[in-house]
Amino acid sequence: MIHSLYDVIVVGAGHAGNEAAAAAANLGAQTLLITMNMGVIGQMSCNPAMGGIAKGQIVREIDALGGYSGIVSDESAIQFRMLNRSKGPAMWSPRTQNDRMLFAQSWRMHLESIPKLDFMQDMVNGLVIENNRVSGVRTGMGQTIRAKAVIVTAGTFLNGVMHIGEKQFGGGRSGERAAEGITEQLVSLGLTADRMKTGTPPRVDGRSLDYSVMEEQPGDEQPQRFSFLDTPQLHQQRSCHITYTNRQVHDLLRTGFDRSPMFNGRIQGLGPRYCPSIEDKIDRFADKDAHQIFVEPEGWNTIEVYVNGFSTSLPEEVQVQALRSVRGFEHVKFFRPGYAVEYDFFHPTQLHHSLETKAIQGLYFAGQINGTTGYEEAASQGLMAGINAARSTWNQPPIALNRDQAYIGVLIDDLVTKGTKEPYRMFTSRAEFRILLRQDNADERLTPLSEEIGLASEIRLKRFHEKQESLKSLKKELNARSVEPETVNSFLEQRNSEPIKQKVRAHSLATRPQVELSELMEVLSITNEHWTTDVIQSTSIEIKYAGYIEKEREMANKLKRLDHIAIPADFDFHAISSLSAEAREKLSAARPSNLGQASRISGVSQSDLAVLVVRFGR
Amino acid sequence: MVQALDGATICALSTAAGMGGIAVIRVSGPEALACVSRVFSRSLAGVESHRAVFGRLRDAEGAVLDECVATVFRGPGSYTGEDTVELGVHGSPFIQQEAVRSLMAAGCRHAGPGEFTARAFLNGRMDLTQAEAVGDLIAAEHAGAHRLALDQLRGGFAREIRALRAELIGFAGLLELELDFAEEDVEFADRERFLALVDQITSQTRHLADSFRAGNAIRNGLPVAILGAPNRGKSTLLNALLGDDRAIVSDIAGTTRDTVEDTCILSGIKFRFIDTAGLRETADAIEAEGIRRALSRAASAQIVLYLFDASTDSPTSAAATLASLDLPPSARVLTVWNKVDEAAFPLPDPSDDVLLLSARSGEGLDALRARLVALAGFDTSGSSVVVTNLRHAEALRAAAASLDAVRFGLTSGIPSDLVASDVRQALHHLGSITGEIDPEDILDHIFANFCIGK
Repeated sequence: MIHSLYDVIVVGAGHAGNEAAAAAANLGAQTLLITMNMGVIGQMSCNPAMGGIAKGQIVREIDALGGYSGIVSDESAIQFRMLNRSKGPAMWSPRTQNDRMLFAQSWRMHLESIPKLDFMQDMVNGLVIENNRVSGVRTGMGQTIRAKAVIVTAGTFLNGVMHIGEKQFGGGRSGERAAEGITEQLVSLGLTADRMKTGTPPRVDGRSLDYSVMEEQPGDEQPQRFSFLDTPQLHQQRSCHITYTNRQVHDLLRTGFDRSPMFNGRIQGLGPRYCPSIEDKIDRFADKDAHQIFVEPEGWNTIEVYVNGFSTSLPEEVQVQALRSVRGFEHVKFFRPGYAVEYDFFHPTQLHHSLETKAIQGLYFAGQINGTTGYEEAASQGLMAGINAARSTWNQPPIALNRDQAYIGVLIDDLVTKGTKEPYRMFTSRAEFRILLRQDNADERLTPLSEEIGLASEIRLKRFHEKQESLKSLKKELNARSVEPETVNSFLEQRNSEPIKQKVRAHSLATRPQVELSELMEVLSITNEHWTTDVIQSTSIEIKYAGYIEKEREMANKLKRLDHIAIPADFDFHAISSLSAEAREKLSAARPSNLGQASRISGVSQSDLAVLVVRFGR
Repeated sequence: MVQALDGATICALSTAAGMGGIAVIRVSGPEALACVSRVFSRSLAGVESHRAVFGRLRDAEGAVLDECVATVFRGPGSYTGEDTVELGVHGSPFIQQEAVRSLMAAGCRHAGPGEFTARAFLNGRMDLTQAEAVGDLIAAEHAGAHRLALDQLRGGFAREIRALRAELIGFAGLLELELDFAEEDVEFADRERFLALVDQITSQTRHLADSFRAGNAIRNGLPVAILGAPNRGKSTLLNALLGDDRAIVSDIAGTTRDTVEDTCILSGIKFRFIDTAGLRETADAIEAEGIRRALSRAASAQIVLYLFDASTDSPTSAAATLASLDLPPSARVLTVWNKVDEAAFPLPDPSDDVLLLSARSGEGLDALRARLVALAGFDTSGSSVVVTNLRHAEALRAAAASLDAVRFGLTSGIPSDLVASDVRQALHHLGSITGEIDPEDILDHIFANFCIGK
């Protein structure tokens, strides 16, 4: 049944919308999720995978905060890999290959089990706004539904236009129509919108491929999980495959360049530099003879395959011809061609850190509408918008994560203070404190906060406290255990680590780079069922990299001082003549709420910052 | 300046720089008394507020530098509201620089522009209505410091630091590439290449830090090259400036076959003048060598005086000559018209960069001297070239220390994400000279050079 007044309405049921709706409803807000098509809730519009470098950390953070992306990914995983395992602990990045249908199904099942969440299929084509405050939405069917807060997660649907070669048609995703009305209304109210573009590769029939000539990429031998809860453990996995383009493929693709809208300038939107179309790649890196293609299965049982690395908007016949010259693709049959999509986004500098728009109270944006790309980036914004929208209805202050607390904090702070000139994707190098923001300690960083705001479930808290206890007891044991030279020296020699001459604590042996903690524990027969692989790994990282962790913590605390100097919301920067003209403009536009945020705005110099310190520092 | 909040003890010269009778170096912060005591012949621990004591100041290496007076002001009754010591030292630029360096070695940080005032304000020593005025002052000092930094960075430093920054970003990019884009089909640099790069960057950084360290301009004089075609009066000008017959002067073009150097002190600043062989096409091997040396000396000069003879050179031909010259881009070039009392053509209008004089009669020489002093940067009161130098040197040394940690990390098998954190530290230190470095700079570098994207 549909209530006449909701606390929160979420528009759009993708990664952002689902997390937003779930968070708001789980916090106790009466929530309505409106989607144009109930059949495609939780759709993976692009590749059938979650996580990866920096993104995997975000999924762990979402999970630690009480979101669902990690659970849904685990439940629909067909392959798990911990990327970057050869690098240090900051870089370990979980990634799953997912069953696209199972993923959507799992999302829908979880959403349906949330008592305070209602659903509705309709298109929202307008917002009800009174006195710069949102009070509901208007739908295509002519209904007006009231709410205290509205979260728009429109993805690529706002005035979406798809391009394949010279053909173009309105739509937000293959086979789905675009949404109109919202952009126009918000622009008339003074918000600034712009266009972005992104591309997607062809989907093909896996039965038409010759995998025997491709390189197999199997999952990890010991697959792990995203969620800190008891999600299912993978027992069997599906492999991906790798093949390459070649000179001939490139020549064939070039024949269609003049008809590629991504390329000939017909699409004006801002595109990403890191996920270029295949036509972009061969043009910009003309001396490269081959580009990698990942052949990713779309699920356990489906024959559909995703051709990752071959994103394109060339005419379909050019796509087919070129792909047929790729090794293993000689007889490829297409399900559907790759295409480019162009859509509206709103410059995210128009948002508060809560993701509420500055211009219209109660209106929140999350996901691609803010100029980001990626499921994980979208989901994490949805989660934060859902939390903050719900809190706003009870007049609770918003939650903003810090840059030393979560990648989600880095993401939102970057968007809000710097804006973006291309679809924003997370990279670990965007984080100043990468060693603090590890995938293994996401729960430690964020679950206490989730408990505080009332989002973490009982079972999550139970698991969290158990793990913390185990970490503590293991550390205690390692500190207490004294090791005799004869017990350990042969092991140390095997590991090329200097033998000991007198008794030492196990802890000090674990600091050695060559000594693997799990192996050391085996040698010393230190066992306990609570000391799981996860617990041992986290402990080992904390011990081995203590110096680096400490150094980053210090830096973070230093910079934090600036975050504690508040700038009043209505402050007139133009009134300070000693600020540079550029800083006055930028600060007035971005309206930072503290000095830390001000310091990250480009165009605000050290001198300007000094002036602000003096003005607000006392 | 953000640093104003870091609780450090800061020091800086607080009187106008240059040669004066007495210079005051101010030290402020919780450790002010302790820091000064470390380099002073007497402990200040028991000294009451507003009392002065006499003693000897040691330099960073522990040798006696100067006899001076230390005045103690205990917080909150001091200018900044913190414990403060004011050291009155003798006013030579050399002593000022060495004293500040010594205090920094004893645990002080160099004060940022306007930082004493900012602290005074933050500690409640000033009224809120003065905040705006304080802001103006800080902005002005920043502008002054920035201009000074630029002046200081002439003579190739600016270029070298820019090159260093670019190399560090390139290195960070290579390192980050294999972290963020490990799954991409790109070639990663091997350890050997990383090590070679780090060594190269470290040695460049150290070289730069050391070149600042000596405070070359102060100790050896600010290099000024005198260039021009033969027989334009270069040696006469040098002699006029030096006041003796240091260079051989004759009417035969090409008399000065080698470079001649001498120093003199103008308004307390030491200049090192380099008289060079006249620039012309020549078949004489010795003279050709002299000309080669002239150009190479000019390359190290911070100021170039290019001489024309008003009695023979037309302004049009002079402009053509200047345009055809390959002068060091980092040096400030002043066009000097000599023999203006015998001018054969209408003279150009004098300006900051165009001076009219007669080396023989002495007309216009004072204007040239004043211009040289101004260019040396000592005319900006309140800020000091010496200290700007030191601050840069400190930043470079800190960057070099971070790079040492990078090398250690690379050779001892520390994972590259941790090594990258030391690279960031190095970039951060360098950023305090060149402006902050945004992570976006590194990503830009990666996207520009590698094909990224599945």
